[in-house]
Amino acid sequence: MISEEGTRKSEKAGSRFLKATAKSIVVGIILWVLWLFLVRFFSDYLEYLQYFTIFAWTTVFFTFGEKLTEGTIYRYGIAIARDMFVIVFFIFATDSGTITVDLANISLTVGLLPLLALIVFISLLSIAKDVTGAIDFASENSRRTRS
Amino acid sequence: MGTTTRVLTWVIRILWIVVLLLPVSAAFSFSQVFQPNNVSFYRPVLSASNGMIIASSSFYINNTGFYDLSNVIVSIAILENNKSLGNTSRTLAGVPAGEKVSSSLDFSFAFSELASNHRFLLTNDTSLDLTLSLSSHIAYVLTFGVSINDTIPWGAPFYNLTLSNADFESSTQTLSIQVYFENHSPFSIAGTLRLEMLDNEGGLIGFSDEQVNVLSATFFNSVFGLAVDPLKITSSGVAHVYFDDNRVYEAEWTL
Repeated sequence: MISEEGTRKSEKAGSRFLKATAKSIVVGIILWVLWLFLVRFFSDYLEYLQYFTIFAWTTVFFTFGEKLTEGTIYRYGIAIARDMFVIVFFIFATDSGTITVDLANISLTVGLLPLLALIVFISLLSIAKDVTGAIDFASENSRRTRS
Repeated sequence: MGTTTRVLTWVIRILWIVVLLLPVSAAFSFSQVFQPNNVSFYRPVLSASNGMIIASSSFYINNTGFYDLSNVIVSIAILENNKSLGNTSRTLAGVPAGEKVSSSLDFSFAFSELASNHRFLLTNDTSLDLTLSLSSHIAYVLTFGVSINDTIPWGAPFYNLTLSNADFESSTQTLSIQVYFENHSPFSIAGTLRLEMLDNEGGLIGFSDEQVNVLSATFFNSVFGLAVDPLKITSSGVAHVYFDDNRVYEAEWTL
């Protein structure tokens, strides 16, 4: 009986691992295609390509983590960590909302502060959603355990 | 999943779509505006009037993008060796999508300011640094600024100003000296040219005024005769050249 339950658990974990790997690979391929597109325009701006690489690898990592921990309380923890990363990443990558690019004798400055504010707002909303989800999950779990 | 979580999920999805679409569409609209011949600045043209040097420039923006440009600020600054010669800016309420707006920028600086802070420019041809800036809101949310550095040629109004052939005629008690310069500036030099001759201690020996009108791209060559006191005359000293009471040149002279 115990060994049967253990086998089922390890089968479930194995299937979760495979699903997480498959989803990460799909997300990775999408980001790689996007990178191939961006590299044509930003080949002279390695700094921004580096930022994109960091963003892509982190996205793949969080996708894998979230899928692997699906159905557990840890999934919400990983989602909150991802939202926090998004806030810090965009503040850092956009130099707090102002990007300046120098091209020969032309200097181009783009102000992205309203957009950055919106990204931070969405991420905070997402954190709120994940916290609500975690509370829902915990109460649902305890109800199930009681009954 | 509770209702709150479901609503939040959808709100977040919609907002992420907005976040992704807005910069992409704004960048596309921006690239449409900055196609060749859609934004054009004309180099400043210099002229002079009533002791002021006026720089006039014009520009136009043809907004072929699909977002309005609002709070458009166009500015121009001219610098000589990192020292500001003058600057001005113009704010346009906006350039709606599909429309073309033309305007001009003028600024002036006094000849006296040029003589006191940028005397080098009065007698030397050079290049002035020009910075053109354009900033605007695009789609009323994002801002962008473009700054272009360029140079404009400067033609000196008293180019190659030289004092030569100083001579003292004892019979007439007159000190004569030849004054020569070329007007490389785009405007005429019309006013009073004064030559003051001083001894080595800075004491005034004599002076002479002459009304001049030197057209652009012509030269001035004249012999100034100064009535001097023979007791004050020395064999060398310093000469000052003034134009409308502004000192433009000083040099040593010897007989």
